[in-house]
Amino acid sequence: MSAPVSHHTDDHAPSGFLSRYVFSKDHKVIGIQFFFSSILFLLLGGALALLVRLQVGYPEQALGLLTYCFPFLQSRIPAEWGGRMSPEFYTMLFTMHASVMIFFVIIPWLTGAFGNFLIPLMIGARDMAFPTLNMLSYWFMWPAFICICASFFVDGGASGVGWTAYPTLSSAATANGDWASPAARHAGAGHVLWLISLMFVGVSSLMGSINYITTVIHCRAPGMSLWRMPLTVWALLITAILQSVALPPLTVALIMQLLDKTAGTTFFLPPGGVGFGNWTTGPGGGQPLLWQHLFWFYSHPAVYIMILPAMGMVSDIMVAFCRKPLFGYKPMVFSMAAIAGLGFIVWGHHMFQSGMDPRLGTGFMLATIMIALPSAIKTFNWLATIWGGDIVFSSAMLNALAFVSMFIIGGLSGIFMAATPVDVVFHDTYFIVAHIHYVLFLSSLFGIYAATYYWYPKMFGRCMSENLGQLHFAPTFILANCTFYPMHILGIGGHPRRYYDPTLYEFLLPFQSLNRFMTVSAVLLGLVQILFIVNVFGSLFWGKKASRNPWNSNGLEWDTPSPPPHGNFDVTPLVLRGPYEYAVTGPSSDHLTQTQTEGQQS
Amino acid sequence: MPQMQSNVTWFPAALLMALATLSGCGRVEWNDDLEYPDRTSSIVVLDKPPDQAPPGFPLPGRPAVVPEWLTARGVTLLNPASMSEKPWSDNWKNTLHDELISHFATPGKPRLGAPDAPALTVLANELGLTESKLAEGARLYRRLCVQCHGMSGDGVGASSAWLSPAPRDLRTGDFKFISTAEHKLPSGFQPLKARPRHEDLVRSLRSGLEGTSMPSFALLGDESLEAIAAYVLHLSIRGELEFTVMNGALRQDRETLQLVTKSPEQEELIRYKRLLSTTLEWEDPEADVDDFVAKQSSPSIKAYAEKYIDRVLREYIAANKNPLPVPAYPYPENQPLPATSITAGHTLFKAQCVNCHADYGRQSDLRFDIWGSVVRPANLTQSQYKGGRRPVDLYYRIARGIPPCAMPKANLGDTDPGRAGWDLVNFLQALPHPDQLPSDVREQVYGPSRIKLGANP
Amino acid sequence: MTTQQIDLSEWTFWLPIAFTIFGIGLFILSRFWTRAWFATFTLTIAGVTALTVASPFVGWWLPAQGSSFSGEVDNLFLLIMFLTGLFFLLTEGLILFVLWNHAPKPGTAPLPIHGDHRLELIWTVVPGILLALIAVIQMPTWARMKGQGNESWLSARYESGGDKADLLLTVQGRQWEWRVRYRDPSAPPLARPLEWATHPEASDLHAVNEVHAYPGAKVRLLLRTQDVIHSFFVPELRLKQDMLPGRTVPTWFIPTVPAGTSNETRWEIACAELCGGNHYRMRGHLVIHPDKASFETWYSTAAREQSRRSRPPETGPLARKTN
Repeated sequence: MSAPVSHHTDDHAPSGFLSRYVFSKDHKVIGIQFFFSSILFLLLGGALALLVRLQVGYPEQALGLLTYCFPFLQSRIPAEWGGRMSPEFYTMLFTMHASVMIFFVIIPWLTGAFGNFLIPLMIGARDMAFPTLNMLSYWFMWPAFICICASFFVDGGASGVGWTAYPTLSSAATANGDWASPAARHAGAGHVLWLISLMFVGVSSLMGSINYITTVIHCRAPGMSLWRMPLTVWALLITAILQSVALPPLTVALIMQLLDKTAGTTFFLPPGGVGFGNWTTGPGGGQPLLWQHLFWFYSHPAVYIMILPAMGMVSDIMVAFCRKPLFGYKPMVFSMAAIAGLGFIVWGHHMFQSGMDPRLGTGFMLATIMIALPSAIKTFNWLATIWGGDIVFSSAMLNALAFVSMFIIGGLSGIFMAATPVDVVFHDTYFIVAHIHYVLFLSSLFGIYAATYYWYPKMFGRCMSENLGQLHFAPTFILANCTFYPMHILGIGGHPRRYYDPTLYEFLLPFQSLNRFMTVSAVLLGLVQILFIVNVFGSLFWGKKASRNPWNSNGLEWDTPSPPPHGNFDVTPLVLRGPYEYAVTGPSSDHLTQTQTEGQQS
Repeated sequence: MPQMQSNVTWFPAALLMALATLSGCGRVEWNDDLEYPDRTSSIVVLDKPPDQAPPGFPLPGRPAVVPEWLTARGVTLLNPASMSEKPWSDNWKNTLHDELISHFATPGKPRLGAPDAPALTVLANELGLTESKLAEGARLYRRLCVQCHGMSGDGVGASSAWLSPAPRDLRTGDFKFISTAEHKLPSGFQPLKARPRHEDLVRSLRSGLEGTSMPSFALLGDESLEAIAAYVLHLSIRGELEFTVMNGALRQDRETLQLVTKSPEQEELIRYKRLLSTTLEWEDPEADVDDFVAKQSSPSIKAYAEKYIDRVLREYIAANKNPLPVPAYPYPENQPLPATSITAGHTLFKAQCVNCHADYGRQSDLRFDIWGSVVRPANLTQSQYKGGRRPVDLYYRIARGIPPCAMPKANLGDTDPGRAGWDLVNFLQALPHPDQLPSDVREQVYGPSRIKLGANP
Repeated sequence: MTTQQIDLSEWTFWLPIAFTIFGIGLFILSRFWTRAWFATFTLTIAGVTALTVASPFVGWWLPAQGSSFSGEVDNLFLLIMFLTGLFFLLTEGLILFVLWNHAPKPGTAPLPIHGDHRLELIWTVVPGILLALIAVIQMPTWARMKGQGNESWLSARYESGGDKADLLLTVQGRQWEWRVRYRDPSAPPLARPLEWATHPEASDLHAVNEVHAYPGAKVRLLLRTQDVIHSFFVPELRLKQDMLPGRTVPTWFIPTVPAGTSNETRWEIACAELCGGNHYRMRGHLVIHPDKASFETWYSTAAREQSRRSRPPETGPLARKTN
């Protein structure tokens, strides 16, 4: 065995249980830690979503059995109403659903779990460039976990001002010294914890992205040129760049709002102050619109942070399961870069109706509509990739196919929102709810599912159950469409989002049956996800043992044992070609891995 | 595939769970077995709000904080929980509960007057509190009002905690914005409680209370508003009975026998009841409303409850028949407000109103109201009026005051009270609009350097 | 106001369950027949397409058109709907085709194609042109909606003048209702209407939750808020505009009603920006009178009532009894 060429002189070989499994600096363990915490928060976020749906579908329905089963709910739902939740409680539900899903599920799962696990393996590195920073990036999530969970139990409950937390609803504060808000019940201590928690998430993501960028730039194996990197790595690199540029403004905005809430500053309070009932704040000097600019400057790129890694991973998965090279590797990379670049100048499309100068709206509309172009290019390339392929209908492939077909709907519905006059109708209606769920649930989450099925053997050395995976897929795909597609129709009818009881409005009454349909679908959809959870945890113990390369794929990660040992590679790999050499006459099969010389046995 | 089979059997189980979860929920209906909760919040013993401002307390409303402020000012707070202590046994408390149930039934099927007290039902129907209207009112109340005002009208519904001012506790029978004439009682008598007229309730519902969190419900239509007003009266009478009985009982508990001995005050009480019999067409003046306290036994509560409801219903009917007279407007209608009248009103205002409405309300101190919560005298330069903006509404406030908030009626003098009243109204109407004020008044109100805003050239 | 009950027999309840069982059935079918996955995708995509196509026929569609620009907006919507629909059918059709032919013909293997320059060029340029076209075509309408009928997007800014407005009113949002204030139409026009929004005049007419107008009137709204951000939304007008604390945001519309309407038309005003717990209850009415005369009648009645100095007529059960 020849001496490995390592980028690291220090091996960080773990010695005890704590340093191996808990405070580990090994990128794989950190990835798995992110993986499991994301799954746990997926359950929480899903439960919140179901409560939201129950209320919208059956606004006059008591929660009955649910409150009986969960004492937590019992104490928060006024019994004297016969168990109906209060409107404030409802605002908390959808706020926390969005916050949990975005900041504690999708982003950590994609960039935290898969980013950590895959980047070093895919570029042939022994570990991340900064292992300690990497460990810190996970452990900085824990204050966030604690704050967000604690916020449910503080006086007033968790934040209920929407995940966008627009001032002055969110930032108005009394001078009492307690954090009770004059504007909303759920904008007090819970919201302060929400702000702190998001700051920790931001710092964690920032650490992660610095690490990813450095690792990809500096720690690639010999021969792994930038143009030989798998799309997953490209996507994660671009995501990391996006995060590192977009997060500082968000952190600044969060700090400003935190100061507004706790220290009496007036960044977001207008000069004349605002009045609630009989009480007025003092004079301000700030501007509520400022928050929207700062917030969306991060949160629009955040949408791409949540979709780009999934795009990269889905590309790799589809290639592996249709046994054909990726169509248009460089256009794919360029279009991802274009999405990221344009992503920074489109934030204003969230603010067409906000009172921003409408001339700015025109510019933002142009940029936003043009951002559909790289997405279209990617879609066509995916289509060309699977065209004529020898498709293996594995769980991972099915979820990847669902990603592509549903991303089309999510992308196309975005054009409606981008067109300023049409957005006047659809802004803040269920159309945008449909759009974001088509992008985040039916695209990102399906991408995450696909990636989980695909890389699980590498992570844990055992395969997930294919039968269970496919049994999970079929109803999930159908029910997700049942749950989210009718929201488009509701939006066209003008159904505003975040309504506790839409039946108060005559023009919404005809849509209520659709609301009920979506609620029942959502409950079933939630239940079906238990199959996935069972699969993930059950396969840890009963899954089929995985070989090094269970899918006959090309990436470098499949050149190591499953799971890879500390240090990843027996020998530092020498990369000879790109990762997409399929449908070629290899020595033993139809593909050439990145390290095989032609004629060598795989 | 053994693993797969176990999961296939597991799946229908999950489906059944889904069905059970959904179908196991009951509708949110106030069905018959749901009862109004007994009063547990403190009883604030106040005949008149204390005339002291709570210093430095920044946020009006907030009932959760206010009791501490009150006790610090020597106000007695009675705790209904101590009713189960001796000498008031649990049985005693249960009797009150049963009486409330028999007269007011439940939120799901409200009524006024027990079936064995048909006289009450007749009075209630006269006031419009019919069972069908109460049912409709309860339905609307459950949907639109309960979030703030609570199921029993206690003002601490789920959404109420951070509202400022706090939502009204309807259970004392006090209402702020009324247009009822005052009963002329001999001096030394505590005046009758200021009962609102039907119109006053509907006006508050229709226009909302600008400057509070109470929104307008005008879109419901008049019939629905009437039903809600009826149900509000139902809640209010129920709460008032509970309040009064508990108040009496708890006071008895503390100041033993004070009410039982035949004191001169007791004699006076009987005279007072005679008087009521003439104003309220009440047949039975000799019946001693405080009899029940003396005997401490349950049967008298039943009698007392009936008498009390009877009296309250009569008071409401009398209020409706006894509107505050509005003097004719002494100046020509449809003309700009006369400068002399505004100046006269300003003088009156400076003499009587600035104590509370300091700097025309721009620097008002906070005050207590009869519920023990904190209120702020209105800022009158904002063109925002809780009790309505019609001149006649302003006149009602001036001529009747806002009794539960210790806002007294203005002293309009004896020579021409009508003109004085309208002068004050005219001044208030002009006050928010600098261009409407005579220049000397404007200088006093807004200062000399004030740029004339609002008036466009 | 209907009550909402869980009705086990309603389609909304059994249909999702049927779909779930159907999905499980497709999974079982896929054990024997690989094209079951083609069926899953086809049926799902056909389902959403069918729902979209069928919706207008069962009343699940855009609200009635109620303003001068609502027709334009709807046409733009339909144009985008048409173009995106084409792309949707094209791309989903290709996916379904691939799923049907999920394997190469026997004896052949997938081709090692890494890309095609010409194809890339086509599917970059064609959608690019279409998208740019979609963007450009929106601009005049946007300018008209946000400016005062001016078609150049450069002039599409919030003007401060209330020139040629027939009705000028301030709508102030607060938790949770709309406070409306009309300027007396007979009063002389204002040079600086934005100032009027913060400095009421004595002759203003105050109302709550109801905005009155008449067909063809150019209605200028000055939107303000007392506390948090609200959004004035009337679906029929295709009008939605946030109210910003500390600012006056002007907007406008010209209501239209079908010819021959002789009764007043009532549309609902909704709040479209989360404004606290009772956000869902910020409901108002936009009342379109059949003509100017009846609007003026309403206005003068309301103005008279606002300056009432005498006792209003008795209402209520007792009053009815005595009458």
